[in-house]
Amino acid sequence: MIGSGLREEDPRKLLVEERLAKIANVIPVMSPKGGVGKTLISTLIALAIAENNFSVGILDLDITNPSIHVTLNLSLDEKPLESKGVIPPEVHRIKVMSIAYYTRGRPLPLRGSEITEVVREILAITIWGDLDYLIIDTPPGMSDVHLEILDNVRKAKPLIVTTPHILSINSVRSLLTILKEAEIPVIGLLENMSESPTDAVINLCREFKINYLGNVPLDSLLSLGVGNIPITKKTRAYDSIVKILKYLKS
Amino acid sequence: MHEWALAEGVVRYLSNVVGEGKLKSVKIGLGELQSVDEEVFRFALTELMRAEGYELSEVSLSFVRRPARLQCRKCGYSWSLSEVSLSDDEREAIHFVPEVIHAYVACPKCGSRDFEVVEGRGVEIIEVVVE
Repeated sequence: MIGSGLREEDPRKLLVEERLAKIANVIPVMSPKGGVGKTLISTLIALAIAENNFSVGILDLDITNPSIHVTLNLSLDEKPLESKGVIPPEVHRIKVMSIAYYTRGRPLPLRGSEITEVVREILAITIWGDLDYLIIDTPPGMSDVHLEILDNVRKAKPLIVTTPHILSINSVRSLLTILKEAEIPVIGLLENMSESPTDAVINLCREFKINYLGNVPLDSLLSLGVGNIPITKKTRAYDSIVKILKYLKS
Repeated sequence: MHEWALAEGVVRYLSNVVGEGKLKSVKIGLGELQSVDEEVFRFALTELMRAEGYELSEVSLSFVRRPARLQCRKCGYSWSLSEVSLSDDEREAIHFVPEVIHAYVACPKCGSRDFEVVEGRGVEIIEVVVE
């Protein structure tokens, strides 16, 4: 046997770059800490990009807890079309790919190697076509999904999210250390759930010589309006995200 | 035609291993969970290989069906797909991403969803002979 499963010869790994070849900017939204707002930030960024007439897709790689279909109010009755791969459905001018199409909202408990299989499968079979931006929502932590992206998606340029809380900042410092060691450039650090820029976050950006992207206020309207796109676009959080678009283009 | 994407992976792999040699035979395992349509897969594979310049008349292409074997990590029970009931929609979902079987199947003995797909997951290159 010379090729199977998760071995280095995995044929799917050879397809990943090809599948993403026509995408100008691949942006994983990352933070090791849970609850800092990665999914909503990913959603807001994709909406803002689409609003500015750029083509955009969003890939939900929070495999065991996908939520992008909720924030974008995408019915799971939608199915990716099959045509030499799978074509993601489009909603609010955003192409959306998620494991949720296949689990239909059921729980999906998986071990690490199984999560890696899912990530490779989805990256290998999804036909995105031409896109200006692909936003990837990632789970908390720094494990299978993140390593798979960083190992196999060479053009990925992460956007890091933190809150002003010291626990989040400490976690992000660990992530930035790993990214620096791997010489992976980052778009910058976004301070979420924060009324104004915080010295500790700005200092972290200086320490790692990365962009401070700005602060996004904690916005109760955003929580109340999850899934309601007109309301989502009226939030202060959305306005803050619009201001960071200039940083996204490589 | 999701099979086309799977075939593309195999052809890219062949390009890497064959190099300047001459491809003589390829043996591919088809896991029961992915339930690949063999006819469609063969068509996609031959079309893609022809486009890559392979002399198909000189290449033996064979497929081996791999029945799925699942094993519970909690109680150790081992079972096959024939022991569980899956709707057509569920089978189709598993066809696209085999790991979603964990959303639809639990161990028939203890009810745990923490089980391993021991065999029969998806497309697997078993053997490539190059001269």
